[in-house]
Amino acid sequence: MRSSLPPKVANWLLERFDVDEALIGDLAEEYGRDHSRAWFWRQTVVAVIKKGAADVRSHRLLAVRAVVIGWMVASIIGWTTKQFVMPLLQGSWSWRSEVWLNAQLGFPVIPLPFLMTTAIGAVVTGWVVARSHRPQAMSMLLIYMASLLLFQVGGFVNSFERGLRSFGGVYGLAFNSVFPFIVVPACLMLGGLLGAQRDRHRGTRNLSASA
Amino acid sequence: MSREGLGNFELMVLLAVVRVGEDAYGVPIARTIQEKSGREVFLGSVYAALTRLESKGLVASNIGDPTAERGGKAKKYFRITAKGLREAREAQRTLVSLWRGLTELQGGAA
Repeated sequence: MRSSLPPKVANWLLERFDVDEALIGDLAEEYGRDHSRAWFWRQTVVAVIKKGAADVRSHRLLAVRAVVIGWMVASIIGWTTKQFVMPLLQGSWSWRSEVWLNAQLGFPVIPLPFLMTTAIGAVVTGWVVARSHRPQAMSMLLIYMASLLLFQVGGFVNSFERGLRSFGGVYGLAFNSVFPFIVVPACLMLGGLLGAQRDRHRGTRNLSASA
Repeated sequence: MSREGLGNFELMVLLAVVRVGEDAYGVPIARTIQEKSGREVFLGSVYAALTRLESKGLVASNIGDPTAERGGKAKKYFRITAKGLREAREAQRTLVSLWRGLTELQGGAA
């Protein structure tokens, strides 16, 4: 038998994205009248996107700042990692495991140390963008993510043939594309959700000056 | 009419607010539009439109009491303002005058 309580994760997302409490209540009321979980998730996704778009429209300067800060933090982390962290990881177990993984899969994969440092960097970037843009934290993170995805799609299209050659064909390219198009956005979102958490001591969100 | 005018969905939401009357909050507003249009309506879209209408001064809202069936969240009731009524009439006049005399749109068949 279906629970009359809405899906917890979807409800948690609505709260984190600071969606209007009355709207969250309306969704809970409608869900209680025998709507499916899929219906609730569809409504949640649209509510979150609409909230993000409305925030960006009413805080345009803040949105620009979020994109600039996001790219700056990601660039600084990327440069620092390349200069100081990657040389330390070269020759370690992770590089050797890459050779083993390549042999198992039959096509080259992005080096594991690069994957790990980029994923951690994405969590940190998401956290910084969200933390510095409360109470519109998640909306501002979404606009930064949109700029990043746009950039990655551009790169993917531009270097499609080179990617096919580098990763040994369609399967290799598809497998390696999971990282920039799914893992990195998921890590950004994780960092953002941590950064947007309510201040438990005060019980309210930090009201940053909105642009 | 205001400088920005009313979007198609905004006009539908505004008319649904009038149609529902005193009990106009998100759920019955969305249901009214869904019944009349025959399409699935997203509550997030309805609230986005209501927020825009409120910022234009076409609707006003007040918060009701929280209830358990809504997870302890209160309802937000909307009502049309005098400016909203004027805007709806203006939109109706404009649309009717644009419609009138269009033979392609008469008869109901596509």
